[in-house]
Amino acid sequence: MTRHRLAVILVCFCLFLSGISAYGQDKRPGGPTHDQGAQLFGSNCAFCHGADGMGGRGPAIATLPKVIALSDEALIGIVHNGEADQGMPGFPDLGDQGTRAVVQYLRSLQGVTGATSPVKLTGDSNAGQQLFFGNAQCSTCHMVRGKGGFMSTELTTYATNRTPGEIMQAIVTPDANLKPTSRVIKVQTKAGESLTGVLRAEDNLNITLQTEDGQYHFLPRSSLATVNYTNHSLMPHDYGTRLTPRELDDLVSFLIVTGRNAQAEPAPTRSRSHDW
Amino acid sequence: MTRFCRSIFGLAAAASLAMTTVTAQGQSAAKPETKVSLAKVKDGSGHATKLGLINVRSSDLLQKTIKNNWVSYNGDYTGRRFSSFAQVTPANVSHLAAKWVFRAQNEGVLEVTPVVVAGVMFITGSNDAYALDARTGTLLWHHARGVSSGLIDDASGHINRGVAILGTRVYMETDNAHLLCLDARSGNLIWDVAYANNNKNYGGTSAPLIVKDKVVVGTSGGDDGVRGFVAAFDAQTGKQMWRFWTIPAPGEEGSATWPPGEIYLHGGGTTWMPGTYDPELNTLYWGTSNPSPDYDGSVRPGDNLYTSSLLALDPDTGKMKWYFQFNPHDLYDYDSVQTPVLVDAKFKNKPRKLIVTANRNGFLYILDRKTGQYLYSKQFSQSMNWAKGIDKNGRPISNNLIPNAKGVTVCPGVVGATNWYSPSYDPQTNMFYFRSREACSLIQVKTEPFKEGRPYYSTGARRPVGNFPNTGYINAFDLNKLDFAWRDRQIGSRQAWAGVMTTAGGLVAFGNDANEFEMDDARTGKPLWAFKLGQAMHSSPMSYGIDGKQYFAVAAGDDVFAFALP
Repeated sequence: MTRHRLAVILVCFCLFLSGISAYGQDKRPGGPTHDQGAQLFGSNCAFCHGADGMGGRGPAIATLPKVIALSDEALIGIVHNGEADQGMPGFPDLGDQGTRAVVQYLRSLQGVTGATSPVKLTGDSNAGQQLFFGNAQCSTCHMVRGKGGFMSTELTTYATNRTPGEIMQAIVTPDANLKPTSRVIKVQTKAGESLTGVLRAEDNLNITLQTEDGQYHFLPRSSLATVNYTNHSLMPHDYGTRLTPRELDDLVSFLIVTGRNAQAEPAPTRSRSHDW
Repeated sequence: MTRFCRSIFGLAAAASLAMTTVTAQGQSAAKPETKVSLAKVKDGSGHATKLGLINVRSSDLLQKTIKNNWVSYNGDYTGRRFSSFAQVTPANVSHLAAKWVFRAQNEGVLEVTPVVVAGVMFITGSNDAYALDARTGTLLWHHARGVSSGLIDDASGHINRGVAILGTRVYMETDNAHLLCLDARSGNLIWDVAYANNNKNYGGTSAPLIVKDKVVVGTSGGDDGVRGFVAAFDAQTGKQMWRFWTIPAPGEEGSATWPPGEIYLHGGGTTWMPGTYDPELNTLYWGTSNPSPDYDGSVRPGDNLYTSSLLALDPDTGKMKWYFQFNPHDLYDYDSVQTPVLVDAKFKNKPRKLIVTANRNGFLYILDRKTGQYLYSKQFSQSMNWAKGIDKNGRPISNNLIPNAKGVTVCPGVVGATNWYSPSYDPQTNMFYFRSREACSLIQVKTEPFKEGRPYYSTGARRPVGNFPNTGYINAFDLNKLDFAWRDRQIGSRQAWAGVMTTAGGLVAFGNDANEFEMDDARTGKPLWAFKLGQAMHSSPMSYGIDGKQYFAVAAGDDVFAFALP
């Protein structure tokens, strides 16, 4: 091989490599790569928190609402310093970039982007509350602070660390990120009975769905004649047209304020009173 | 649920948006859509219960027989943990097999007794709650709260013994003494009440008890200088309905058993195990812990009411009807929170309403549960040096072993001749079953002030050097003969903190000292079957039924195991 050809090959190879790393790059210019975050998480965090962040020796940081509600800054602090009274060591050697990459990866496991700057409210959260429990009928399926329905996601802390845009998207295009446990399915048993419900669990042998009255139905696949998986949840698809942009804005603001209030909950007060 | 969601289901049915039909075609498209429950299960009380539909009525909690539904920590209000399901017997128990395992995430050793209603199992651990399909162990929902920081002693172990259930709601305590109300169909949080606010040393390690329309709770912290109480909250709203302080304030009845001053605020007497309830007598029975500081009696001369006692309370008002104190002025950490089992049986040939309970102090007691009258006791601890016996009024005849700076050896030791793990009463054999321990402690004392954020034992206990016993027993006490029918010494090195239950099939089930779930013949104590769980057992077993099949479930390590015949 001539030197010239070798140089060409090497240059092409280097370009090729830089192209590969670009696939892992996240959207923030100059930010850490997703791959790096996954790798660091795997070698430092997974031992206690599970490769999927679903817990084990340590807490399920991918799903615990109070961890999802922490700011990126707070998470960075925890990774760096540890949590001494919970038995978590600190990881100062990850460095600034490595820590950010790991937190970024955790956010992807949590399914949130982790908005770090305080969000500006553009809507009327009181009007949003009226809509939530009124004309928009969100409370038919969703619960906020203990009030509302049980069939769908509990929304008290939903808005923490989600941008208004993400929340809006979730309202107007609810099936864009369809969770497996939110999916509506319709089955017919071999005995000829029909059931429609939300798919709560399934495996190769069984299906568990929950009907609107809250009842769980435990169904062996062998007892079913047909299983129709829809591609939606219970949520109406048409909020984008049913509600005005202003109403949507108000709803988003209501969820953001609710999330903020939940985060800011004061610790129980201590008093010398003999009743409490 | 309104027509709105229904219309969505309709939409889902009619929509042609990328539906995937998975199995065979051929069903007639014209068939009307009907919502049908696919399984109806009759439980022992005669109510038809739809599998998977959770809606527990007060009458369900009053069930006199346990068969399909284990509706509370102890299965029913008597606390006797006797299942009327007789499918598994000494003849077929050799075929009993594991059906599934569920691993709880992020947990310490589970101490929960599962609750099962309509084929749905509810468990807790480290502030989290889970709902499972009790037939397959499939997770239905997980309420993740995560553990609290800044706790001490027992509370810092984030122990949780399970849920209470009423209507479509489950209730649980948290490690930092909050009472949570969750929707049983989704795990959503409905309300959260902090119920022990004025001392950081409180914790919650128990399961609540539902009585009528109220949720009754206690706290931990008896070794940490808190003032114990039993409290009841409205099951709908979470509003406090009453609170009974176990340590009287100056001037209140019983306060003469304490020195004057503020020590009552740190007197202990906590209420860290669920009680029992007699609906006919309308009486709630709840035990209290040792006094604080555990080993230093010099700062608390007197009998220290109502520590290490059984309280009989009016569940509507919280007022005390009577009390019985097992260990006046206790110095050895002898709590009296063990289940006060309600037994209707003959005592000295007369049918009577009794309480039978085995105490940490090494004596088994029989009381009249109408009046609290002391009827009988039997020493079951074989290596006892702290008392000569019990007098005719039920008061111990103490040998006055007083822990000091050098250390005094006391038997039973501070973990007790028995402890919180569940006992059981079998009406078929008329026997009371419980686990006991032979062990001693060297107890040392140094007077210290109470300090929030630190335990308040003053000072400590450890294994004494020398030839002291360290053995576990499973015991069967015959109420006819008023003597032990059998006492099985447990062989193995693992020292379980696991309780017992009994069945109409003639079995006693328990965790043994070899990390095994074991079943013996209830009459003879003969070991018949064991399954190696392979991890520490700190819980008590229960039994439930689905579609005519009897199951047993028990927690060990971080896991819940379920068993049934093939």
